[in-house]
This record gives sequence, C-alpha cells and structure tokens, in this order.
Amino acid sequence: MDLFGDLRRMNKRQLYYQVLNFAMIVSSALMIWKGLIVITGSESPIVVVLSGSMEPAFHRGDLLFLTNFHDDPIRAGEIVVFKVEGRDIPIVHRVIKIHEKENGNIKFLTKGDNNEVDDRGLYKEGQNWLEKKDVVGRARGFLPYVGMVTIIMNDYPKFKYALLAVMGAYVLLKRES
Amino acid sequence: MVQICPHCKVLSGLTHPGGFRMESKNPESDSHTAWWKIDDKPVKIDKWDGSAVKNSLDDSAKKVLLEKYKYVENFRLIDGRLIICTISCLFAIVALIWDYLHPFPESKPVLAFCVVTYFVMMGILTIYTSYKEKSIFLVAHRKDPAGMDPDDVWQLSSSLKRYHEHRLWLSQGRKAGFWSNSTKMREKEWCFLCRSHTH
Repeated sequence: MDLFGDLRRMNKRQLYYQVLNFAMIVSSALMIWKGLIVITGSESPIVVVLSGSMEPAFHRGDLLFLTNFHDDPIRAGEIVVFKVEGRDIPIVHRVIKIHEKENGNIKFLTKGDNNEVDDRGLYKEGQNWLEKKDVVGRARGFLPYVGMVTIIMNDYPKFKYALLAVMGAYVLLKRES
Repeated sequence: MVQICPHCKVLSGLTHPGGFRMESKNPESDSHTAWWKIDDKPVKIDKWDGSAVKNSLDDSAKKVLLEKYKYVENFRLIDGRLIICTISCLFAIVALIWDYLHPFPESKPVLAFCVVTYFVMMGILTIYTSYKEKSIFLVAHRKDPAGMDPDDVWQLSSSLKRYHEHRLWLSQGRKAGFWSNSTKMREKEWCFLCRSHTH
C-alpha cells in the first residue's frame, strides 16, 4: 500500500496546500478554544472532573462548562473551579463560607460535597481562604462521561500521541478534493 | 477538437487504443527528484473512492492539456486560495504567540481581534471557493505562436456526484475570467463500472 502515492503525484502548490490544510484544521481548533476563553472570561472554559469529591453531583469523567464574568458575585452554595497557588490542577468544589468587603473583595472557603473536611488542607501553607484571583470559573453546565476520553489520554500518553499521529498523517497524506 | 479520454488512460496504463501516448514532462531536469515522482506510472486508485476517482480523472485531463497540447498553466485562482489560507493561519499564530507572552486576561483584546478576523477570513475563503473557484481545477493559456494576438484561455472544471457520472467541462475565452464566447462542451460520458465509453 503506497501511503505516499497521492503526495508523490503533487506539484509544489498542491503539497503546500496539503500542509496548509493541516495547519487550518489545527488553527480552527485553536481559534475556537481561544474564542471560548474570550467569551467566557475564564482561562479554561471546559474542564474535566478528575476525582469523586463532588459526588453525587459530579462524577469522575464529567465535562464542566465554566464562565468567569467579573461582575458575577460568588455566593455560598455555588460550585467553583479554582487553582491553588503553585499547583497546576484545577479543583472543583462548593463554596461554603464567604467574607465580603464593601468594595467587592472576597475571601471564601470551599469543601467537596463528598469530603469529610473543608479544603484548608489543600490550600497553600498558611493560606486559610481563597480569593477571586484563584478562581478559574463557575460551573454553568455539564456533560456526563464525555471527559473519560481526556482521563484515558492523560493516563496513557502513548495512546494520545499515537492517536494524534494517525490523525495528523491522515490529513497530511490524503489528498483534499 | 480535444480528445480527452482519461478513463482509458487510468485503467490500462498510459496508452490509448488510438495511439495516444503520454511522456514525462522534463525527463532530464527531474533526475534529482526522480525517485520521488511517479508521474509515469499508471495511476492505481480504489474505484469505489469517489474523490480519488475524481482527482485522478482531473489530473489526467490536466496532463493532456499541459503536456500534449503544451498549454501554460495559470495559477492565479489557486494562488488566491493559498494566500487566503496562509493569512488565516498567520492570524492564528499571532494569537497563539501573543497569548503565550502575555497570559490571559491581559491578552483579551488581541485574542478577540484575532479570533474574529480568523473567522471572517474563513468566511471569505468559503465565498471564494464557492463562487470564484467553483469546480474549476485548471486554467491554461494557449500562447499564440506569432506572439501577436492575446492568449486563448481555456478552463477545465468537473464534477462527480454520488451515483452520477463524471462530468468534465472545457470552456474557452479570450481573457481569464471574462468569458465572451464561452462554449461549454459536455464531454463524453463514460461508465466506470463496465469500463466502456458511451459515445
């Protein structure tokens, strides 16, 4: 099976178009993601729930849609996604206590629904409260199970690279009509 | 009258029962890429893959016009599409780099601008391919040997819809893009499945 058969018959312009085609697919995905970031105001508008600390509301593998509008006040009982300083992984828990100043500054405490204790053990050394700058977004909607694909790809990175390589090869080698 | 018979050429090698033979375009100058190019070999494709069939037929028609009749290809239409795509990708790259250097939320205005421009360019590309390019895959000039009259411009376009036969149109005009006496001659239809022409 000659994988490169189509490519070998192409002239320079057609080869450039194959590469461009691949670049456009990647760019489109990138622009949709950046567009979502701009529209929602959150640096990561779609996150996957990684642990079972919010059961029965969210299970491991659920996809969450977030927004982070500046003017939306954070209230006790809301589910927020936040990042602890120095750690990469966002955490999805519920706000249980808030202290609010008149100028809008807040300090809040979170706890997972399925956890025994609040999140103070997860915060930075000496930190007892979270602030607005730690918030990635507020959960607005969710899709069950869809995030399992992301979890599998993170647990087995070779699978992820293999999948990306196959998809990339398919786009680059197959001739666009 | 141009005799285009890409069907036979595709299936039975490069000879036509009427004695029509294809030669390699530049046998000497291609020596450094000779191992890569397979222009001379018969095209092998899956006959049930519609787009591969259409591409092969279009390629054969192109070859006839460019190599046998020595027309000169005009790349303006294709270049237009390549330029639009390249500009779109440039905007995407700019957005990526800017966001990396100035993390969100400082990059919000630049990101918003790049995203909107990108999708506008996508719209322009769609309009270009649907209305300007349509199904044209070759624009070629026939140079006047005396160099006096303006070139004859010929244009090839084709369509291959599911469950329909392949249609090839050859149009002629005086100037590219301005078809004053365009005659669309529908080429002879043929049947792939029973490998015969219906003339």
